[in-house]
Amino acid sequence: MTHNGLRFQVASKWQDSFRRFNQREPGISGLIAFSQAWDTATEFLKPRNINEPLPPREYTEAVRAALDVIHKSRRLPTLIETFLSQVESQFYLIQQEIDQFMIDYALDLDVCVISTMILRIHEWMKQWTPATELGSAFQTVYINFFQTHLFSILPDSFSSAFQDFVASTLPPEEEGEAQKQDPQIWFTFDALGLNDRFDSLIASVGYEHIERHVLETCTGQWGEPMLTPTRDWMTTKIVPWMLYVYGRNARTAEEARAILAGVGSRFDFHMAKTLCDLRTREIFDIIIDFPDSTGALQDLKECLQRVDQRAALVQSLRQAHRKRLLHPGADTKLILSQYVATIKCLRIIDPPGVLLFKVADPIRRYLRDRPDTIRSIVANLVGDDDSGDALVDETEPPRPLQAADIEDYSDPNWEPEPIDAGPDFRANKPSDIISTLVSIYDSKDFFVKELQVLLAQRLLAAGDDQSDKVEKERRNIEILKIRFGEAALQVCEVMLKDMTDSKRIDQHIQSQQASVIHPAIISKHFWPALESSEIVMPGQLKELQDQYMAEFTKFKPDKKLRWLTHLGTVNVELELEDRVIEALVSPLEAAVIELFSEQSEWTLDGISKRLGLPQPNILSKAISTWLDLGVLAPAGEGVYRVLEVSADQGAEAKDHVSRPATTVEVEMPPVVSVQQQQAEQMRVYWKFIEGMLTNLGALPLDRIQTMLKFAPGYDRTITQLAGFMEAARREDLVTVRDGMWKLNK
Amino acid sequence: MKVKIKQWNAVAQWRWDTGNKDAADDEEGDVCGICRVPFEGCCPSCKVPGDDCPLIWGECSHVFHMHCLLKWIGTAASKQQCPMDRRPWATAERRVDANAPPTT
Amino acid sequence: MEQLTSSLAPPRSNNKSNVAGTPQPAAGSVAKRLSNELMTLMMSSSPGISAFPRNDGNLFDWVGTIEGPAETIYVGLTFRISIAFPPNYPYVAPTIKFETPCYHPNVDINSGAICLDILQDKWSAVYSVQTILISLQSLLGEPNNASPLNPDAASLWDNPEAFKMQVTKHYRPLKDESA
Repeated sequence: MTHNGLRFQVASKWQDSFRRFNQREPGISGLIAFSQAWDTATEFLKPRNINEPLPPREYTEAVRAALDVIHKSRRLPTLIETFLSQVESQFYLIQQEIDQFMIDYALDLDVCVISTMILRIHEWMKQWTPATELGSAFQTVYINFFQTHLFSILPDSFSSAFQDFVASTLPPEEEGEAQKQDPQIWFTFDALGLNDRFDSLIASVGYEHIERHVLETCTGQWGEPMLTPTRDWMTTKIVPWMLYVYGRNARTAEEARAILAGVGSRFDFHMAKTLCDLRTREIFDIIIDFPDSTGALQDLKECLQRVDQRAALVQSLRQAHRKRLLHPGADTKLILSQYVATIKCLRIIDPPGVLLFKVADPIRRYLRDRPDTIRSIVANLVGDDDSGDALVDETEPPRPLQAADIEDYSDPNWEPEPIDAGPDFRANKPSDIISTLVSIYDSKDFFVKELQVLLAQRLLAAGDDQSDKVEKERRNIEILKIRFGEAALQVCEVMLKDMTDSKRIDQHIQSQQASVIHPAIISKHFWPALESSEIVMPGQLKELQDQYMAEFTKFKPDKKLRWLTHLGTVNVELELEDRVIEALVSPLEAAVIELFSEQSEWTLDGISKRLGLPQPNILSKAISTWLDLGVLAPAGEGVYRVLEVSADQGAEAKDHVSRPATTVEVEMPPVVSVQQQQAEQMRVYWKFIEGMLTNLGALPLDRIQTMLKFAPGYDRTITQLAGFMEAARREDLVTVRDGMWKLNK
Repeated sequence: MKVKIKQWNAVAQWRWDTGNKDAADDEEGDVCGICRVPFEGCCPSCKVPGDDCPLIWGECSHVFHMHCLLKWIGTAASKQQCPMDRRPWATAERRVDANAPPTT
Repeated sequence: MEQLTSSLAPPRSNNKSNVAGTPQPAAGSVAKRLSNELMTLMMSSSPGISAFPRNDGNLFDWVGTIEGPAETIYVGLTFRISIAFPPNYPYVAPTIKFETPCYHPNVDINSGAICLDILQDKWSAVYSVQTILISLQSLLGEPNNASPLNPDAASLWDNPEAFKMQVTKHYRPLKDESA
């Protein structure tokens, strides 16, 4: 049964097909007609070799009739399939040509070869296109098939060749060497589907072009903003190109604008990013060049608003600082001026100060650890910087130091902190440079002390007439008072007053009894600690001191003087048998030579005993000064004597030798090391901790920290304190329970 | 050889001549017992040391910043006595600078 | 120039110069003196006496601690006192009270007020926290029974065992010591 059923089904199917092919014609005449029609249609559609001269295809009545027959037999799909397989079998023709073109191109890289090739492929495609009469569906199927097949046979080398070609369509930088390409070629690309296929490649050609342009025109060009000129260049050079590439199918200007808006924004972003990356790489040198690099900073500011590269900028700058600035070879002054320039530059780029905060932190920490930072800042403040490179603009009016801002909750202008601000970021209200520098340290007292030292050096570095100098210093101090406050600089006031008072006193004393000694009489507690010296002046030097002292006591009966004999300068004139020598020397050197006027030969021991110096080695510098001047000569082990007649006999007797003031390095007890100082400080702090725990009972760490403010100069962080307390705990001095520290009794 | 000193720019500190122990020339100097500031400094109400903030000597030989002592003598609690030995205060004549104003 | 540089002692180690220097308004100069006294007190090691400001930022209110001296009835006991400095210190004496109840002829057991001549009519501007603390410490062993604030204690003084019992009865150990 089953068998019969199947047979019946097959038979009936066959009958159906047969009737359809036969078109219900008598006998098999219909079948024959269909066969003829099929032949006509396939012949008409057959993809031909366009290299062979053939008559043009004509959509004749016969063809139409044949297609009609096929249509009626519902065999059109089969016809299409047959056609496509013919196309496929003919594709080798195209491939042959492509291979040849690519060989040609590889020879001389002439992009014309590529355009010719593409036009040629297009020819093939057009040639094989089914007649429009067959309907658009037929064509669409064909085009898709053709394109797919084309892409599958394009060799790997094609993409780079195509890239070269696209690049050649870009407008050249120079007007002259234009390599004109027919913009119509883009339509051909469309037809072949190359635009869609190579979309990202085409864009990358544009990007690379922009990158090249930016690097060529903007690298090292920091004086003027380059963003606008580059945008102008994009408008004149890139936009017209983009019109062909992306906007060629637009029918109206409106439509073109809409198409270009999206792609244009991508290109603009890429340009901004390229410039931003460039400036980020250059940032360290841009800062060095400031203020000649303001243009570059403007660029960076605008680019950063467009492209989020802030983190990269911070990283680049920090890295550059680490490599190029914060190393032992760099001069502190240089680090300071680069820091100041960084402050100024980053304020332009990022007014809220987040970037600055992140970049400045390592510099500030580094500077804090440098021993001469304060001195450099202060030297600069008082204009004592020989580099002449003031950190502060003269034009910037001095302002009081600004304390670190405390959040003001009632501030109507409050703004939330920028999104990339870290938790320890303190909103940087515009504060002046000096405040920023001073805030490297926790206390301004350091600065005032340093200022005092510097002022002492400058005031005591003698000159004949000091009044001008004192006046200049007074003006300096007046300015600094605005910054540091009147009270902090009171000591400096007294120092200046000492100088003017000394002059007045000296005038009075000189009027009573003229003397060659002119002392600066200073108020001990208002000057930096000056080491006292024990030198006992000999001979006429002592007499000069005593006479002056006597007159002084007459003038100021309730006061006496204490000579600081290692400070100051003495102008001496030595009369020898054959010459006169004049020299400006230290009091110690004067004392030594004075002894030689008493007797012509001295031992080192003798001199140091006579001058009351505990260590004779201090003398060696003073002795060598006179040896250098040819006044003394060695006469045995540790013995020296006067050269009354110059040893330099051949030369003419020099009757006048002037030499500049020597710098006498009186050997001082070794400076207390930082560690020793810190240990000493910690001892004091421990006493305070002991005191507070004794009287206030157990305390938490933060309370100890705040109470330690009563200890003079306390500047440790709570972390340092925690370490210190932990050490004390290990020594069984304290115990801690639930965060409360108490003394161990 | 003859040495001639043509000019000497020297540096010296001034000290009050408090009359005690010249020889020792004590390093730190004495402080005023009332304000605990060294004599060569100035009392808390002054800004400039020296002639503007002079010392005052008592006949009991105790010395203070003049301003500090006068302020003390001005309080009822002082009973006009020297703060050191509580003997009636009497200023020693010889030490006071004749030119100094008697009060602030 | 360099001779001076080298002869300047390490600039930061020395703060003597500033002690004399910076002028202050009245309250400032008192605070300065108090901070000076605090430093002196911390660095001197007087056994059994100590004091420290109660709160940060206020130098006029201190807490003191006095240990009962050896060979007195108060040995082994620790007393807390409050010290309030007037704005015109040292021309006027600070106000001092026992915070720990102290059974003593010259101390009011309820208010903690102290009867000590140098804190009243014998005050002198040259006294300091340290001299006061030392006087108080010696007052514990040597009361002035002539002018008692606590007449019971004064009359009991000659009976050390009974006196000691009263002392112990009133005494309250310091809070953090018992913890």
